[in-house]
Amino acid sequence: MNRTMIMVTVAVVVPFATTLTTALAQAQEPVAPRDTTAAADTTESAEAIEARLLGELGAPDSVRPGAEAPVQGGGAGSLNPDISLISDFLVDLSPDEATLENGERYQVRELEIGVQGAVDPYFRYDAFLGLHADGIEVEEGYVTALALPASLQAKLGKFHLPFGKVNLTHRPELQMFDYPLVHREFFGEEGFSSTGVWGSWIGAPLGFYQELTLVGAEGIEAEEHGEEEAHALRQAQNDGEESHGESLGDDLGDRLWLAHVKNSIDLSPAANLELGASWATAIVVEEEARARTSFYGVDVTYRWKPPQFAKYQSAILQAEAIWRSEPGPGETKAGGFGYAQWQLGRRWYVGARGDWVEPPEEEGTLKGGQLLVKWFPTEFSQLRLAYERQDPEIGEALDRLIFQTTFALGPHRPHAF
Amino acid sequence: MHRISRITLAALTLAAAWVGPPGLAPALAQEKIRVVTTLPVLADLVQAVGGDRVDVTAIATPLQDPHFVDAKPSYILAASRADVFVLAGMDLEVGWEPLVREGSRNAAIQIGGPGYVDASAHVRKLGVPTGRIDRSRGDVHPYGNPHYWLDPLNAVPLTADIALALSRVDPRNAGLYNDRRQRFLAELDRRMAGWKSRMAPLEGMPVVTYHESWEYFARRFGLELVGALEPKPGIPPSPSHLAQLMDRMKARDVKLILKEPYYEDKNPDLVARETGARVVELPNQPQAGQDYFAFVDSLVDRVVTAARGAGVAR
Repeated sequence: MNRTMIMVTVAVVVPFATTLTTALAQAQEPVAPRDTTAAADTTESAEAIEARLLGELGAPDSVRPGAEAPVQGGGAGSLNPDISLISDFLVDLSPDEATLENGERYQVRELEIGVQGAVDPYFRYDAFLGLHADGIEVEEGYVTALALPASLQAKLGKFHLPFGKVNLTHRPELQMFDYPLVHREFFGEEGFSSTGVWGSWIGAPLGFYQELTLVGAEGIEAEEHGEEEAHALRQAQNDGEESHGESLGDDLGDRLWLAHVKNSIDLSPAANLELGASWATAIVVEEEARARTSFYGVDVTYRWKPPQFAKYQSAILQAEAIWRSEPGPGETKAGGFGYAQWQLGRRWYVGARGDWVEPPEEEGTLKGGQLLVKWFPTEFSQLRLAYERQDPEIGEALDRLIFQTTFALGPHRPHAF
Repeated sequence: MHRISRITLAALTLAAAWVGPPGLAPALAQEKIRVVTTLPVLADLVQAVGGDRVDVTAIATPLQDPHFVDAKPSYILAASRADVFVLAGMDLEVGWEPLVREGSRNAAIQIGGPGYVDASAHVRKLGVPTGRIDRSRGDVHPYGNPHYWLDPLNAVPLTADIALALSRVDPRNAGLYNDRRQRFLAELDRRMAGWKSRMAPLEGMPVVTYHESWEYFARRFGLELVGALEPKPGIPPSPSHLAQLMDRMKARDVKLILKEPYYEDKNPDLVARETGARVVELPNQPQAGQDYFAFVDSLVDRVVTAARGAGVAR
């Protein structure tokens, strides 16, 4: 660990631990130790009043004259979890050559199946399976502990890591047509996810919303070959073989650690500003090289939506910057993006993204950008036209026009703000 | 990179992560029951029952469409401190309320908790769809039309559920909540007589709405709903649907189009011009400073005034 890393670790972990201790101490106090005796000025006991109210509610027809016959519910309540499906379909309209995987022009990039629901009063479960041409992938599958004290929440399982803002959104539901270049180069096509334990705390010590998250997880699962190599490396170690460089051992400390701070400030009823800072460290295995790699990120999101015209007007300005640092001189790479979106009417949006990244394996900078026009027949269906361009300074030049549709079937849980 | 930017980063992280001295939370001084409601109308009813024993906040603003509210972190924070959380239910707020409530990490206000109040629990529901339900029918609510607070008599079960929850979390003042509710119901009876007599000349009057949100109000006061500008719930008006609707409006001599301020004006104005009807802007939530009675007063006022203007009632 270099000095900066230690500083950042201390900066994130110490206040988090302090807050946890304080919060836990407060949680020891009884939550609602209210007097259960009836107030002296009433002759009826609290129990009698409650019983009477319950009696009144239990017989709706006798509540008031003019009552209609009660109508039974539509039978929508059941013990089944919510099951949903999102389809992500692409058509490559580029004039010159096909740019999708395998030279395809038409592609079902993904079918995402979501199964979500309450396990019991203490836990809920969310699972998202990605069905691709080459198989099924567990995109996320985690239990959330809802009944922890002191404003704490925990997740166990596989999840998108809370590194920055965009990374928490699944690809078909991104504002853009794919993850920014920096996410794809640093973490993989489908973002930064891992399997582990996630703990977070919310509060407002500074007068606005703050969320502190700590994650301990297995490691970077971005690239398939990376996973295989990590596995092979662990095997080799277990077999007593020597490995050069820093190794992915069996120690807990060798796994991925992440901290994220989210600050959300309502500037007005229409405007909100979110500021976040993230830090993560993990062993990254890439081809022959493997090294402890640290990531630092900052994210800014400004959202504007006047409450009265919320269906017709809104705007988003968003930016993230990420630094990826390996031990050794000159091994820090950076990347980032900026995104702007404007709602033109009830169903129409336009967006633009500017991208840049210094790829870990190459010298130079990759630049790109995309323009989007989006049409939402309803909140469950979306048609988008994206023009994407990438600078040919390194890698392949890209100049393409993609038509994308996403359709959501079933009761998909809404996404976090 | 770039010693400076790394140090800057560390400093930024430090600044953002600094959580301040403990003990600033006003937990000790807080004697009142903290209530968070999803809608302003529910906050008004909680205030009516709880009086100065409650400190009540509504999440949605009076001019906002309750279907479309963002689950902002500040709402999650408010819910995290609440003793009681009241929602309209029937899936009206399904797009945001679960995120706010579950995100709050507040066990007391989760489903089944002492502070959780689904205000629709004992309401007689209208517009419960029959037959197969899917989204080809638009944004249909499987449990029925959720705009039930627009029938003033539904304040009876609503306030009962609110009084019950307040008594549960604050049994010491159960008598107070009960007394305040009884006074509220007595006043409701008195006002109801006035509203009914004012609306009596409009009995059977055909009206059109933008969204199917006035079913309870129309049913209570004897208005006949002839159609909606939306072809299906939540689906914006289309030219062909509006053409059919205008034919029907002319055939039935419809004089009033009821619409919430959060819907666009273009289509209602077009229909009004073509059919000679009037657009009546009716907020479906109490405006700032209005209690529930003043809110219903203003609805009755607006409808009666518009009907008079259109020559329907004298």
